Amino acid sequence: MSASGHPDRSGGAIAADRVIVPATLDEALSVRAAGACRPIAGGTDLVVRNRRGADVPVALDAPPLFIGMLPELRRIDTAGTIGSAVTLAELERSPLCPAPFKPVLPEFASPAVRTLATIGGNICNASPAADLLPPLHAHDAVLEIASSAGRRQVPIADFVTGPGTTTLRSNELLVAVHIGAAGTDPARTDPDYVFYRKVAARRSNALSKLSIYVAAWTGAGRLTRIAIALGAVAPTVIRLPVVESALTQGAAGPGESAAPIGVDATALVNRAPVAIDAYASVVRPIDDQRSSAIYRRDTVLRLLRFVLTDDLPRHLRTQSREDQ
Amino acid sequence: MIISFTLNGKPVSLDLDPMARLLDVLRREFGLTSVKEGCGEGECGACSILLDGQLANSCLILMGAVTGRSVDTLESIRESGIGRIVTDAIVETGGVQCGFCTPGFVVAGAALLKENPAPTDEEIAQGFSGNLCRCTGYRQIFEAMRVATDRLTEGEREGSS
Amino acid sequence: MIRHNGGMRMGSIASSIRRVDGDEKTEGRTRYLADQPLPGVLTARFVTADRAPALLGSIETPDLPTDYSLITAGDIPGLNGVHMIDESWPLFADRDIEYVGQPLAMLVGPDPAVVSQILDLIRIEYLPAPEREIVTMDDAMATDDPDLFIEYELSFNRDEREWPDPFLGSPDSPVSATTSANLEIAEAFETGAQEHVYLETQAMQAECEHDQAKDGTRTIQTLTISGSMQCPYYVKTALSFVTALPDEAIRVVQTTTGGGFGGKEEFPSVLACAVAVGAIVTGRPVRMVLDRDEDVRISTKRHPSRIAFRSILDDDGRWTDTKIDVALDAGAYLGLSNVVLQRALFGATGAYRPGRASVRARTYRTTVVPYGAFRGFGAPQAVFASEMHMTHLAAARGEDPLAFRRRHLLRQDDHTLTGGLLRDAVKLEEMIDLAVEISDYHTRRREYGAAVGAASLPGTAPLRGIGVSVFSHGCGFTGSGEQDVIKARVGLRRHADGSVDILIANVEMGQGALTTLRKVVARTLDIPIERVSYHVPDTAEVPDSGPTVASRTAMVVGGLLHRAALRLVDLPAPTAADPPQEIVEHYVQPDFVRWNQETFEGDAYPAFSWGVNIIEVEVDPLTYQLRPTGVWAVYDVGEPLDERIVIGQMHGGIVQALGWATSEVLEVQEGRFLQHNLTDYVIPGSRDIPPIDVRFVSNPYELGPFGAKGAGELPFNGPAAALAGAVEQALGVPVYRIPLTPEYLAGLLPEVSS
Repeated sequence: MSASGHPDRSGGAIAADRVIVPATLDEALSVRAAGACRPIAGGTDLVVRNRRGADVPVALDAPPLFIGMLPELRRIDTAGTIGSAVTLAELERSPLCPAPFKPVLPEFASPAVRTLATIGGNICNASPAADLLPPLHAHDAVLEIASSAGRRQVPIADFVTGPGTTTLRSNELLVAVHIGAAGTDPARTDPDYVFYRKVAARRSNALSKLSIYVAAWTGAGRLTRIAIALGAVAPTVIRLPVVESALTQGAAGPGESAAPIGVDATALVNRAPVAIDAYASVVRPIDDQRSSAIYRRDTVLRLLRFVLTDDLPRHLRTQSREDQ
Repeated sequence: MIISFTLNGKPVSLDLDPMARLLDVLRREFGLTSVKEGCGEGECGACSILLDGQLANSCLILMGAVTGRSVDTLESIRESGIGRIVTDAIVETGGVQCGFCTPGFVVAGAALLKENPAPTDEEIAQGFSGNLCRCTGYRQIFEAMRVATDRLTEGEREGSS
Repeated sequence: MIRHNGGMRMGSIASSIRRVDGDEKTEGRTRYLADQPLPGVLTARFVTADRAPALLGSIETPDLPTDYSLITAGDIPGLNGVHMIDESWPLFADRDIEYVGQPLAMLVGPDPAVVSQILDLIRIEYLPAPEREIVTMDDAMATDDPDLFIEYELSFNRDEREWPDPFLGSPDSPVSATTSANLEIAEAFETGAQEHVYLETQAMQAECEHDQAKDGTRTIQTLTISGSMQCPYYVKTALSFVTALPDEAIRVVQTTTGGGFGGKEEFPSVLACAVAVGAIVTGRPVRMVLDRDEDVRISTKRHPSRIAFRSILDDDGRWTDTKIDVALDAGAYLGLSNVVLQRALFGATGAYRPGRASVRARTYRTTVVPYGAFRGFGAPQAVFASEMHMTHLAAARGEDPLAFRRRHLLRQDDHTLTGGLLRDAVKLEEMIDLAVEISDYHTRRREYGAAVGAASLPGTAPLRGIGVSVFSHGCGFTGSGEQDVIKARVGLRRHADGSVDILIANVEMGQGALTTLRKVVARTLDIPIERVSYHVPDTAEVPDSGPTVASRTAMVVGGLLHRAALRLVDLPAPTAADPPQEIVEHYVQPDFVRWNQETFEGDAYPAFSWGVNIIEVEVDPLTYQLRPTGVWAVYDVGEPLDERIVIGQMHGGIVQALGWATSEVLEVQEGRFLQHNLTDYVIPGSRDIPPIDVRFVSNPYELGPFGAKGAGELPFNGPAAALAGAVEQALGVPVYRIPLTPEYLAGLLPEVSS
């Protein structure tokens, strides 16, 4: 251990010829294939983690590969594909911003940080408190990973494996995120109900203590599909598709030959306790300098209970009245 | 590495360490000391600048990412119409005390008004959500933005920029 | 009665003018220390301990390049001790390491990047200190070891109006009860540490000018220290101990200071002494600007407190007896902790008149960064506890918190806890009436509150509450500190053209002194403010007018400047042939002040400022996050010297106190702060601020300039208890500590925790 508790570093600024600013994605991928390097887009996590004080250049553990301005990584299209180097401010301003991000982006850090932070950086940094991961999980985002050998598509749930860890190989780059229509189901529509709460130490610019993102698809007072993602209460985002299905699976009543599609408000409220127990058994937050495990756990479950037994049923009942 | 970018409206080209922070380069190489270090971690906004016209924290930007982009600091923003209105309004309402956070607030305030000439109270608070002040309690700064908004509207009616 | 001539022309001094330093600050032209280029300056960084308690074995460095040096205790020419009250805080620990973050040495060199690299390679060898273990506040309180605390006691028997013997025996003896209709209430409150978060971190620089004798020996002609500070002469005194240089060889110059709040009262002396030794050893200028993370980890903070009450209410609901136990965590060295303890002691019974009171106050030595001066200086801790106690006493009687307070308010001609006399009008009744009116308190109080059983099944509507506090702040230094310790002198210099220079050592740190003090002199002399200049506090040029602390700048220093200016009024201006006229005005303690520093008997402060806060809050029943939604604040600061500037001080103090009461969590684990950067140490931001309505009640203080009293610290004292009272109403449960984090609040409600 060195003076002042800083972890050991090899020291020395990175020589200019070891800093790579590729002109194209192909060039970047060749560099990735050739050896150790650290991709950097917005840098908002990497710079903070590796800063060394005033007038001291930032030192990463491998030569930096600047990918933030690569045009191939900066597109947003109408099919719900977002380039990994698209900044959060660009996403927020874009008319093509997918609906799941709309409640989340204004709560992400600050306007100045959003100018720099990228969707790819937030995903690859894989913090348990990452703000974008819950909506990405809830909407079955698929990640497009490229290497000089080709491309592969990885569902987000398979990509982020733990705090700060992903299945990105050392010769790969995350190039795009597919959310919504270009994901697995081309007929997917935007949810008509979204509940998002980020609980942090203050309203301005703060790291999440816990978050909950619920998207629901309803019609005629019945819930047909629901996606629930809990953030910062486990090493990775919690998503339980089996529990979600159980909540919405129609059940044939006595004398009915076929199950109706979805469930009404009453059925949802009846099924909620079993679902909440299932989440309770997998929620395992930690005590840290921001919050306590017990508060994170209790609060996320209280919010979930509120959604399933109060807010969403009310939405269904209102809808069902309006339909009459 | 030779890094070329536009600084306060003028093209510059300098041999710089690409891993140097933009904050340090602006202060040391260019003497632009309105840009300050309050935390080094993107929390306080004292280092606020405009990157391609958008509010950003210069303590988080590495020079290797600045090539071909434009950077504006308070030294040029204060000469613009909006910049003058914002600085004047902040002094008038008492929204400046020790002054260390103030350049960041002026840059953020000017950026907000450029994009949204008639912000609501909530939008003003959002616009400043990355700027910390410990002296004023923020209220007089918000008041300055209301004064600035009024002046901007008057100015537009009178045809000034 | 001091009267001012010419004031009628311009109206009240409170009329706001354009702040004199505002334009340069908004335009970014102001240069703080780190903004000032200095060719050849060496960057300095501390080598700090990351283990304590321990013994320092050795510090191993790699081979140092030319121009890079490690400065250690062995390089100190004079005393290895930073003078504050005493010199027990070493500059560089050379054997005993008392806290994590303690400076052991300092590395200096020309290239910050190389300094950083070398620091990473430095190895500290610790020797075990087998008989020493980490001491927390709990440990220190449990052992009752007199080596670990300083203790004061105070008793007062109001009914007898004389100095009684302590009547309540030992702290643990039961409070006597007279009839069974009396209520006895015992409870304890806690407040947490707080970091100042001045936006400009600690910054100091040293430069040496040498004389060369004919034989080639060099002596130091002048050592100049410049930097961010509140008290240039405190720094000068500390430097004379450490450098052993004669007085005339030490010069201290304040640079524009980006926030202080007390955090730049005593701590800058540590940096100043370090860079001074560096400049002396290397012969080069040396500059240290702390990185924020380091600043939070190693600088002084507000003292955490635990304050316990045992009180009796008689069957008329009068607060007849109280026994109070005050405990402050001092950290590893004395610093200013005994004086902080005094202010907490004197404020223990708040703005009220209990029949009899007995207070014991201790500050404990623990294994952590020493705690130090922070706006309020012990009073906020005492006010929080006493105000919460008042609210709970009221609740025990089923009375409205304001109604209960009104029956116990101090009044003019009453005696304070120390037996001092409140000579001046006390306008608390009028201030409470005004606060109630502007906030519509009674309507809201009736309407809010947790519905019975609400906590068992939270709905969606926020829980609402409204709370109150009534408080004071003693203006200026305690007791005879001004007379016996500070002995302030101010200077005015008038030129032939009629322009006047203010010569004082008090600094502008955002509070507006540059503007308000110039206003005082300008109005007294009836000249435009542009003809009055305020020389940068430079000890080579200005007399010691005392530190910029204790809410004394406007009242005491401003008062001296006013008196000095009055003397100039009666003198003819110098002609072009004459040298400029110089007037020095000395502080004279008002003859009504009686104070015994041994027994703490008499007038602890010559004047008090007063405040009333009403705060409304919403609590989210799902997350227990709270949101203040309205603050109404009424203050008596005598007369504000500039309304806009003083309102700014009030807003700032309120928001800083709301942060202390809500989000500013600072926890110590194994002697280390768990929150040490601005990501984890959370101060209020722009989206966290309620509307704030500030009003002033005029109550001119005879000896203050234009009636002004102290204003800087007062606004910090009130909000925490008013907010907590509001939260109590919202949740229907009592609270006992701040910060009121959602984690704490959720834990108070049994139905909520799993």
